[in-house]
Amino acid sequence: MPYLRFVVKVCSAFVISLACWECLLRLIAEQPLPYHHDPKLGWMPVPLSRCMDAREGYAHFSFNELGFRDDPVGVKAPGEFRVLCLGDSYVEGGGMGPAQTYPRRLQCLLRGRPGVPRLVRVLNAARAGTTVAFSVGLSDAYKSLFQPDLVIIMVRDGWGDLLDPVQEVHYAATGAGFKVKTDWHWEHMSKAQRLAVRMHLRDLAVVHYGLRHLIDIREASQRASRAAGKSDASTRLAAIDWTVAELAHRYPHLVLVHMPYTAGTHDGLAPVSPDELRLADACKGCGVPLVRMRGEIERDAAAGGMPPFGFANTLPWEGHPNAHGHDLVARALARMLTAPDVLPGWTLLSARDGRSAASHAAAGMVGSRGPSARCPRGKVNPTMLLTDKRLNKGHRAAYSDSGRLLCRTACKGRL
Amino acid sequence: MLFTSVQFACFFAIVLTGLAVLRKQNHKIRWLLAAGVVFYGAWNWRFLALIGFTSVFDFCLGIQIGKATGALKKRLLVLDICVNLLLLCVFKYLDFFISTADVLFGVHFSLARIMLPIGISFFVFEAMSYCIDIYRGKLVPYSRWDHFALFIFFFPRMVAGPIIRGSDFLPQLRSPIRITAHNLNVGGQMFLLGLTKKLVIADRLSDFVDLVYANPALYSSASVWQATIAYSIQIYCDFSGYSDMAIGLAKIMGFELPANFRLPYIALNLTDFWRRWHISLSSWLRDYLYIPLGGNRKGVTRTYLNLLITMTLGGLWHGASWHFVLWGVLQGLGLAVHKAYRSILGPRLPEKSGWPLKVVSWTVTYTFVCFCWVFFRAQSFPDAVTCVVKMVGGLAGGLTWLCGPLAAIAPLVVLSHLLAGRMQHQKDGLVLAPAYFSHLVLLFAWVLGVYFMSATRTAPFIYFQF
Repeated sequence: MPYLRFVVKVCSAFVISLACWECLLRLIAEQPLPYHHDPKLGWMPVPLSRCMDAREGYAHFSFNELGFRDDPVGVKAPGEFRVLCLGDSYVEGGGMGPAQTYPRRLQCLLRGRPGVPRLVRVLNAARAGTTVAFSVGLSDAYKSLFQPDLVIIMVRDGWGDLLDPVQEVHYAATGAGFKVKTDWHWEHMSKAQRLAVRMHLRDLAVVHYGLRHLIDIREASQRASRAAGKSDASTRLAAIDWTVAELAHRYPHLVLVHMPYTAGTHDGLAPVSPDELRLADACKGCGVPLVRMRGEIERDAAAGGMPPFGFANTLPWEGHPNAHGHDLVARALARMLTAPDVLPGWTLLSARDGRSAASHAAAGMVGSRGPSARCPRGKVNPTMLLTDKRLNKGHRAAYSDSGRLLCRTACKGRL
Repeated sequence: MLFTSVQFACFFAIVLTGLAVLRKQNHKIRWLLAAGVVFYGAWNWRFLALIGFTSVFDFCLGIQIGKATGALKKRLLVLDICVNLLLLCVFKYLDFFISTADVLFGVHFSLARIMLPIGISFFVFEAMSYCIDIYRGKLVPYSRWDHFALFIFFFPRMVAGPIIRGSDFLPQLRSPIRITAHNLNVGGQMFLLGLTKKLVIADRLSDFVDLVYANPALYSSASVWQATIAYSIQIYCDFSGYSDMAIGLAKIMGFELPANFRLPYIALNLTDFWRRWHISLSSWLRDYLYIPLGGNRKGVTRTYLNLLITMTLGGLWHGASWHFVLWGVLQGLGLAVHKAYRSILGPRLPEKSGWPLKVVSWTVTYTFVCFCWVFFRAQSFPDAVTCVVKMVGGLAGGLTWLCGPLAAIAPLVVLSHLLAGRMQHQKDGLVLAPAYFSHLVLLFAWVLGVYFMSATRTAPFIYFQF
């Protein structure tokens, strides 16, 4: 009996202390995000859920009816021009409010500009912890959910993760190239794990924070070596080519944004990697506009700008991009989308509202295309580069595969 | 084996089990001696011979000093001091002397690049203090080598102190070594306190401090100030945390080690600061260097000179580099200035005045200590000068990056200092008694807190490099 009393006393004390830490962690560190299995999109935040995360900065997250960190999507309005932003936690915007993320900033920068559709709406469909393989494998789902007119995908180095089978959507190498495999975690969970999910045990801050703290301490280097070990350089580079071609095929109107890694020395970016150069080549070959943030960041740093990475409770040039970093991305994209001389011969047009080419031209919105023989899929992306030479000759542009009107004007009426 | 590692937890569990199982005192002493050999060997087995030589040499010489009389006694003591200092000079300072001679005289000897044996600064001083105490008649030479060897090989304080005296430690071996519930509770909480200081405070601040001090020219004056204040907290929590862990481990096994820190940052003057900071070293330097030099018995000028010599050598003890020497010189000058200031002010000292003067006195002391830490921490002399110039506002520009965790940690450290100041008059300090339910809840919450709030990356203990 005394032993039983002792055991009950110790267990009660432990539970009470856990409860105290549960309350404290929810105030200062983290309110865990509940997840569920979506049959189309996989392991997703529960729609309309909320959480808080203070690992980097301090931010409250709220998720819309589809489970993304954005305002409600709703039905697409007539004349609405939708820009869909895909990516990982870099785009989701950890550590800051949603208004500071680059999709929201881009929307503010685009709206009201002459020539930009009045109903331009930039949606944030980024998912933390995912890779660009999700954008490839779930393209049909994204297109049916959002009906985007333009898709912007942020990519980073670390292409070896695309082949990591831990990810729900990943690549498998085949003889001809790659194929996308979908491997929902929910289907592989044991009954005990499913019960734990249904009982919301992982939704407890002490469990979620405690487990993640353990993982942070032990697995950071293990994960990098595991991913690197799964792919050699040639496989990785081939995956880059394949990915760009697939994205160009699946998303007719596409822009890629490349975000470089930071150096480990907390004073700048990592050197240019072969992957980054290969990505630039692949985009050029497939005619996919690529915004390389390296140049933007370096120019900003040289001009005395604040580091675009790092928060109040982390170090400069560490972790996710901060508000300044997102602002740099938004400005770079806004310049590219609205000023053709920044990216020679290319500007963006939306023609879904069926207006005539002339009215589009008068509105100053143009797009053009040109051929490319280097894209692995052999198709031409409708939004492609033109050289200055062709522009200067006053070429009229063609129509897209889907019948979208693409035309271009002379200098007047540019965005 | 770091105290914060899983390997050490397993090692300590085995040691405790052995102590609980063994019955005879001598067996327990040999068990602890073996544990010390294994612990030191885990760091670097090559230097076991060095520390073994020290233990045998000083043991034998201690016996001879005890038997000898007159001039022979003195010569034996001098031999002991010379051999120990020679070991220290060869293993720690040889490359420092070579590079200094290269700069001063242009001699081009190649560096010896001898690996620094871990804890050499500590066990050499302890061995010397044993023989000196025998010479002075404060200690009787021990006839059992295993008892004396345990004094050198006692693993909780082997690598980073506190520096213990034979007169404090060896008599404890006459009492039975027992693991009691009280010692387990108090020692465990001391260990937990040290763990909290190290993992939760020191390691969290180290990232920011390392970043700014790696390249201080890149950062603004505000960031350099913040990094210096953060470093003052980091080095205190790191070193006192290690000392607390060492004292706690010793307490669990039934041994009492002396306190090494006594709330140094509440000191109102530099003399008081050195009575509270690294007490084992400062008292060692006082008893074995400052007083033999004459202390304050040979006139005012000689007193200031003795202070300067003592603190300069104290700085050199910390590391074989001129910026440690400069740190020591600054401390010596500060102490001399304070001594002169006391002799002038007399009964109007700030410690005896109202709180406004105490605040001013504390501010001046803490600011001076922080400026001295710059030389202690900076990676080179030019970096140290850059930091100091930025702190006084001489160099504008640079990135202002503030340390978020410092805003939460600094008030906690201040509060703990104020609370502990009140608690230190109680017998066992702030000790939780698990018999009470509320205390048990607090204990569990404390352990969970150390886990949840610990930094992801563990930095090495700062004083391991000495």
